[in-house]
Amino acid sequence: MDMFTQYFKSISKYPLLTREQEVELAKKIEKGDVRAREKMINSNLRLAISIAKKYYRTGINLEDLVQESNIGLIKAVDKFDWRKGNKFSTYATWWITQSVRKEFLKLNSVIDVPGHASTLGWKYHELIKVTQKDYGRIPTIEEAANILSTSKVTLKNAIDAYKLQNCISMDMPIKSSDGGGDSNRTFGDMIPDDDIDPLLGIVTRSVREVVIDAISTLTEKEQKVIRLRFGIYEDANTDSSLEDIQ
Amino acid sequence: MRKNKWKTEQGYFTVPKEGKTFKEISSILSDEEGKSVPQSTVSNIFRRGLVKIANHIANEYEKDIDAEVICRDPGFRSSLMDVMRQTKQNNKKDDSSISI
Repeated sequence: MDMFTQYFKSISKYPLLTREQEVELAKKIEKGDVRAREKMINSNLRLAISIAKKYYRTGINLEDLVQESNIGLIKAVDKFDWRKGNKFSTYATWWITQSVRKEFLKLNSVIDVPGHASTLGWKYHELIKVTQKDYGRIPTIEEAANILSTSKVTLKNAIDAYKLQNCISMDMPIKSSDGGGDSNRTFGDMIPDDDIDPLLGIVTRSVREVVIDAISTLTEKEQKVIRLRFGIYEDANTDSSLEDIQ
Repeated sequence: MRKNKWKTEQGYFTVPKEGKTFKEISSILSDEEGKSVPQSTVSNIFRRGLVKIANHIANEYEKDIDAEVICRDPGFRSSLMDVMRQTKQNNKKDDSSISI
């Protein structure tokens, strides 16, 4: 039995709380009762796992997601206000989702994008889904900016930043169909290089040969003057870079 | 007003720090030959060599060019220097028979 299964089993022993129990515990937490806080957290760990599972994809560690959702849950317990009359799970779901989504984007992306930008980008994509379903069209940037209460420029930047999160590393190892990794091959290896044309290589080599031929037609004195002028002689350091030359 | 439009447009070719000035080359050649070789002669020899190379390449590719203009081109000079340096490095590595 692995550690994670053991963890699932261990949290299943904590019973779910009724609304009255939640209020009672929240009151105790306000007074600084550590045990009440612990009980509230433990009783809601299953909620944290269920939200973390929604974001679980291939290549992402579920344990990392669960860890983050637990952090979100702890925040929710500390900030829960029982006077507002909401059920704890309703309130905690937002904190947990925010925490897990942040971690999900971090694990899923090569480029680190600020949290507010990725959240705004995500909201825009959710908005597109809803409007497409309800009205059959995609909102313009102006409309979306109005709905999301932000400026057009900020929204555009957030959309660009959100797109960056879909980048993958060229050095990422390719996974075979059975899920196993082939450490020797990366995504970069699979992309054909259109820049290098074998024919061009031959032509370039032949130009070099023509130039060498041309140099050999010069008199010894001419060759020597050119070599001295270009700094190509025995004592010269010809290994210097192009930046040194030009 | 720009004094030298051609140079402004084409850019400059700068020799590397190991490269000798015409004055230095002139004194080297004077020492070797035992007679005075003026700087202007060195400059002419250098230019003549470049014109010969440009002409040879143009003939090889059957192009009609003005070699005098081509040999003043910074791109031509730096490419030629590049080829010479690489050939020298290759010669060092595999000690082949081609030597320049």
